[in-house]
Amino acid sequence: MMYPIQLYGDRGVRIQFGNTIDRQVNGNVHRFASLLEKYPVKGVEEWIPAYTSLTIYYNPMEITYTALEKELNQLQKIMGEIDAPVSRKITIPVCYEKEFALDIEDVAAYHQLSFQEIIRLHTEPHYYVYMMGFMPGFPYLGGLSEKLVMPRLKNPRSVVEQGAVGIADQQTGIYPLQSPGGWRIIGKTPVRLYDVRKEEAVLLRAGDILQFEPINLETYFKIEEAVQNGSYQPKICREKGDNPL
Amino acid sequence: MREVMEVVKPGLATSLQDLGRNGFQKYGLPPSGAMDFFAHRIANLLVGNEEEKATLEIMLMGPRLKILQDTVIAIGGADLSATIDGNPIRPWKSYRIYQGQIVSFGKAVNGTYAYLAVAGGFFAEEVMGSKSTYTSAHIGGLDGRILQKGDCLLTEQADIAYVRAGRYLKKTDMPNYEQHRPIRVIPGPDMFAFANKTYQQFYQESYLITGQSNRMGYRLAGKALPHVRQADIISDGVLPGTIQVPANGQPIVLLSDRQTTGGYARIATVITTDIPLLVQKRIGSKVQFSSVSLERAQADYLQQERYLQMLRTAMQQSI
Repeated sequence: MMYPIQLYGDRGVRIQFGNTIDRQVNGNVHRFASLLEKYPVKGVEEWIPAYTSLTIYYNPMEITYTALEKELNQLQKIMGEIDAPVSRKITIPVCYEKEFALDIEDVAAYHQLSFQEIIRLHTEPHYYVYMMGFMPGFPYLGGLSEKLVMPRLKNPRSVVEQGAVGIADQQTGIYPLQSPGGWRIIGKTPVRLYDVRKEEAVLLRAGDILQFEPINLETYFKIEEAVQNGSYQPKICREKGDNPL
Repeated sequence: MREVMEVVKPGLATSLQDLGRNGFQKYGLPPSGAMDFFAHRIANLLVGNEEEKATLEIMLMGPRLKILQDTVIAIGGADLSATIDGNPIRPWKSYRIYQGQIVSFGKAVNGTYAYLAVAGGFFAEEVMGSKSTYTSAHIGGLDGRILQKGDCLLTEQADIAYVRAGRYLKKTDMPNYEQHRPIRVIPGPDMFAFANKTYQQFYQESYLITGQSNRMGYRLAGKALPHVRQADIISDGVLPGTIQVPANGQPIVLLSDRQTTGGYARIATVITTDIPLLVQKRIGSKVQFSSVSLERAQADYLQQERYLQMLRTAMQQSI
């Protein structure tokens, strides 16, 4: 099957792999991105994987649109032959204690759940990183329990702290940087999703599997200290496998 | 590495920029970089630099800078009435400048962004391959922020004995920021989200550049552009010059500090050669758009790149 290649400005093209937020569709986005990594196309400067598409940025000084289209179609033909990129599984420690969980009472009241149940429902799933965007290092996660779905705050906070973990509609996420925001905050991680001191400044990658691990205050501060002095090693394991379904 | 300038007054929003943090958009990192990358590249060439060296991006109200070391400077882009010790200097021309002299700026004559290049380029720690300041994440440039009074600017290279001053652009080669020709776009990628009638309207109406415009994007105001069904799309990659239309129908042109993905339908994308012309327009002025073919857009892009190549060769020969 050939996916359509679409014109996007004078230096971009876009390949669409489907029309829905779906692991299979998104798996193909990352499969194609890994092909571009493996078989570089002259003139292709970078790409942005999203839920259903891959946006490719190229330099017309190096390659014409027609030649690029041809190369990309060639790559599509071998898409079926390559394995999906290896998914990494990353554990993110989250402290759900009240002093960080600014909105956990509201979430509990809204869903008639105890704090313990909220924590269990939030730490159980294996979340899938569909794409990165919005802020440096911010993952768009899929897999939030339906029992935790809740609309954003009516009045967004002017400051949400770096590391805050929140819920907004069907999404859960982590603020990589301090910023204004309207997510319902239920915890905080001491781990930095984005740390310019590191060679790989951004912790997560599209296609990663992520799980939250509940920690108490004491552990939170211990990890925070380790993060600050650079000795913290995030828990990452690589899982071989086909599509990370 | 040597101290080259001291910031006596910082100006409105002066920051170090280069050609951006390229290759990290897949991790959600905005590329940043000079808003008018064309003027930035030429300013560098005029002082004998490679085009990607960091320059000072100066917006409307310029800084006051004390020179700490003899060097060569050039200013490209907007005409912000630059002076050396009170004597006017021309944009698009390189000048030798001596320790103790003062560079300052006055009235904004035309354009919005000026680029001050120094021989050897400004020094800053590179973050992900770029010196560009991205204030939202506090990275690049000077501690990830705009200039402050008392800052000391460093240059990468100290020896300027071989750098010639007095290079300039021919008048016919200088960009004209006051011309009223439409900004050219390639329609899409979300053409399905807008009726043909809406596209006609988009090309006929003119749009005001509002005060909420900044390095992330220019927010425009005009007759609302209706969506066929809804404004929201499944979040998707955006490019420089992409024009999003949120539910209120008012277009936003995405620029250097843009987020890497967006959730609003994209009516069109400004072509590369016209982005500098758009960013040089003033807040409060109006912009019109017209549709252009890919062939024409790329022909213009190639022509501009060849022009820069020619300039590069000419500059090297004149060292």
